[in-house]
Amino acid sequence: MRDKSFYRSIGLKCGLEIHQRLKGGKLFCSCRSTLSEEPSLEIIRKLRAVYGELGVVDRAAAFEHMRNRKFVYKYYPSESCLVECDEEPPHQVNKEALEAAITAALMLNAKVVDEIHVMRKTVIDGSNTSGFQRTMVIALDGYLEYKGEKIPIAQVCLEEEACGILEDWGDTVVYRLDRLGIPLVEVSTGLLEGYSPEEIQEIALLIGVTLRSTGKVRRGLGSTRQDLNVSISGGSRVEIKGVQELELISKVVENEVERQLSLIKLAKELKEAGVREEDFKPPMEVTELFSETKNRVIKRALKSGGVVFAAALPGLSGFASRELCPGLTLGKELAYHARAYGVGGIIHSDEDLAKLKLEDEFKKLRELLKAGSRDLIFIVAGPPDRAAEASRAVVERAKQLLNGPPEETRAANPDGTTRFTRPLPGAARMYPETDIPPMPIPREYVESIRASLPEHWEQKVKRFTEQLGLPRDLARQVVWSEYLSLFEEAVEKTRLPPTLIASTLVSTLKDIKRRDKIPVEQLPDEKIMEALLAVDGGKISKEALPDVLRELAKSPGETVQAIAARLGIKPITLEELREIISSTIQDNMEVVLEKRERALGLIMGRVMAKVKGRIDGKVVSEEVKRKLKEVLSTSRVEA
Amino acid sequence: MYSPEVEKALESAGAHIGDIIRIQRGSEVYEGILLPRSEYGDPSCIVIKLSSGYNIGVKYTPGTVIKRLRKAAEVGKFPAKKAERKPSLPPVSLIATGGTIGSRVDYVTGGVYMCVKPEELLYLTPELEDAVYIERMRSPFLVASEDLTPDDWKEIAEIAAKELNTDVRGVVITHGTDTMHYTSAALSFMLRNLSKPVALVGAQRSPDRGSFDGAMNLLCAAHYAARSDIAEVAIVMHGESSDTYCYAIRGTKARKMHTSRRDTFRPINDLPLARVWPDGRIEALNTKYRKRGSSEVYADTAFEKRVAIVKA
Ligand SMILES: [Zn+2]
Repeated sequence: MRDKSFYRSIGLKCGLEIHQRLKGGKLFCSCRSTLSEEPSLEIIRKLRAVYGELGVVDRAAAFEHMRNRKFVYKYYPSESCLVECDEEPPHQVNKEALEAAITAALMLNAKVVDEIHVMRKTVIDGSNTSGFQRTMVIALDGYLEYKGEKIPIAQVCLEEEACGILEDWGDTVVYRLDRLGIPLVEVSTGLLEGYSPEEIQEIALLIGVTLRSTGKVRRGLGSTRQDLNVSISGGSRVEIKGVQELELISKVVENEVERQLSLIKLAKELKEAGVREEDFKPPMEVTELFSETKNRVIKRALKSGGVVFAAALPGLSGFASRELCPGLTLGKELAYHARAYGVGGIIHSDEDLAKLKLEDEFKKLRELLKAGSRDLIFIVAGPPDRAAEASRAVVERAKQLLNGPPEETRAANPDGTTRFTRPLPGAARMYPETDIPPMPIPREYVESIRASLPEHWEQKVKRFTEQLGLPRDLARQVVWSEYLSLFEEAVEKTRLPPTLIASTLVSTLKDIKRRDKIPVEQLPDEKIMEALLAVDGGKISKEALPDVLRELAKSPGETVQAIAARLGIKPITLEELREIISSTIQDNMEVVLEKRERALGLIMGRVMAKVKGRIDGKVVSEEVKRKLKEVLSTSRVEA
Repeated sequence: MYSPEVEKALESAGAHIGDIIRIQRGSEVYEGILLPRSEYGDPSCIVIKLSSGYNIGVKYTPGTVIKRLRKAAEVGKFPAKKAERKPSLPPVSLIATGGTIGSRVDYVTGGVYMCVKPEELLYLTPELEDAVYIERMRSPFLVASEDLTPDDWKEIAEIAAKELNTDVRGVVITHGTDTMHYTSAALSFMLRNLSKPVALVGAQRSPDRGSFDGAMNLLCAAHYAARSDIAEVAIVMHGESSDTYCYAIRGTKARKMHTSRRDTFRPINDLPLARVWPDGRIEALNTKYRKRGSSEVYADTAFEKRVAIVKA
């Protein structure tokens, strides 16, 4: 286990960008942002490389253009309009979102700017129809306290969410327009130095809690997303996009540190082995050699008009299976570069060639490429232009191995590893959105928001403990959970005990997810509230709540009433309970008479089996005790 | 357009647009590139570009200290691209008159300017070079289309006639979209004995964006001019919201139906002449059209400007 002093010694520096979706409508039009409909239309677009402010094509933008991909956008009638289609200029900034962002900025002790200017940030991976993302600085220079130190918050921005990706076929990407334009708050920390990956994760959690305490943020799948930039001394700045779960941050940072350390070590080894940049030769087309191949993948590629490119990577034989970090071999790393050009990947000479039925071809290839035994040979099969570009990209990446980790943008995988996506974008990618005039922010407006800021999370924990009677641990769990604002709403709208509401939200739901593997986080707040109100109104018992919530999570379209009816958990009245208890005792009279008071457990069990979830268990227990006592006292007389 | 007191403070600090400045107001310090102000917003806010690339406005109050730190990097222009002669490709002439399709954004200020040289158009649509050979580029004037007058139509007609009588296959005219249909109608009547295609083309999205529609329009317009056998003045613009094909719409029958949509031009009481694909395919949709020929074109530009519309 690597400790804090290790990360300090390698000079780990990390910047966090926390993206959090806001409640309410879209940022630049009046569409809903519910993400529920079926698409009605499709639009097909292409995006072009654009010319940056210094007259040159931005390198990340040029990279996307070279891929020449086609983008298909699914259109949802209530959740998209001409603004999302890039057929109409944006409307005025959503006032509610602006106020939420200012609230968040003030909670982070940041200084709200005097005048907000909306910017266009060039993004041509198709995730924005316009070719840019609209974004604006709300505040600068804030801080958060963590372990007695001030964590710098460099910038708080308000921006529009990008399209959701539905499918990626390499040359065609399918996006959904409904997500485009949902307001997001983006919080960027300053560079965090001297912290361990666990601490960096805790800082991210702390920012998340602070944002949630505004009560104006969304929860659920995809509502938060983290980007990290990580560097170590002797390494490079690497941007890692789209870490979905806060709990993955420390693992992602650890893996990236490991990856960079391995690449630094590898560079040294290769140099010591005498490998030089000029030894790398460009790939050759070798389709001919594979005309009789028995390998199914290549056969299929050739049949559909594909070609095969190959190259030798000097001195790299035996290295492809080396792990750069857990779950990522050098071979896989090189393959990511090929895949970025829309081919399936690479096949290399460190693989089991006999199993792949490629032994003969690779033997001939080694001669053809004049490669030595220490060289790694690889091939790329695919459509002519893509296979050529992809194989060249692999050679270029291999050449860079001599210089340690390069600067690049990577994407987080769900297992905490990362994959190469594109080179780091240049600085020339931001210019003003001329369709929206600058917005002066009057100081009185900021001060009015400051005057009614929501409580700090620590104050909330204190209040929930002292005034609502929650145990301290439970109070903290609620405050740190995604369900904070739902908890507060339920406490206000129902007469249910706060402890019941809190434990339902932080533990019952989690149990359902863990035990029944149901994506309970997708259950909307309104449905959970509906269930709580049903308990409050006596329509279902609190015992039935877990079952009802589980069924709701499975089919959120159903009403609580319908589910209760389906599960047969219509509540019973006290009269009905008493009848059930009497008949149960009657049915077990022999045992009752024999065991007398000790028969309580048995009767209780039998009754509960009949009324479970339909009436409060405490009431059942009281009633069973009372009735048993009554029966025994009369039976004694009889006896 | 800063307020007089901000202008004065900037002047006494020796700070010019494009300089990197530091603004100190009490304990707050801001550093960035000094930018000009648009007419909107608060004229007493100093606009700077932060090192992150974002712009913000910093309110100038008495006691605010401005310091000029250094000169920022020069703002670049599009490198003009020289057309290469490719004898295998059909020759066309291009007349640039302005509009969004030939505009350029100053990435620092966000201001929109006209491309000064028509060669800059080639830089925006490099694919053009593999589709046609641009024999000549003419640029009588560069204006937004709402500023065009009937005298300008005459000038365009005369240049077009001259170009059509050379060995080019057709003429492409870049134009703003707001009055493109007026110009297309005027040219339809002015160009007599027309024997080659004339395409008017523009853009609804500016070239600074990845979603610039003008490149595909220009490519399709070039195909129409070079490869179609339709000897008519047509507007060649997006046929639908998708970047799939363009319609060539007869110059006298086109109407702009929407301020900002890509497929804004529609034929009124007529079918589009053809569907033109960016890969060069041309699909005739209207059987009635004037065929390509060899007659000499002339511009009949007599025009009565004293006309009014009376709407009952
Ligand atoms: Zn909309």
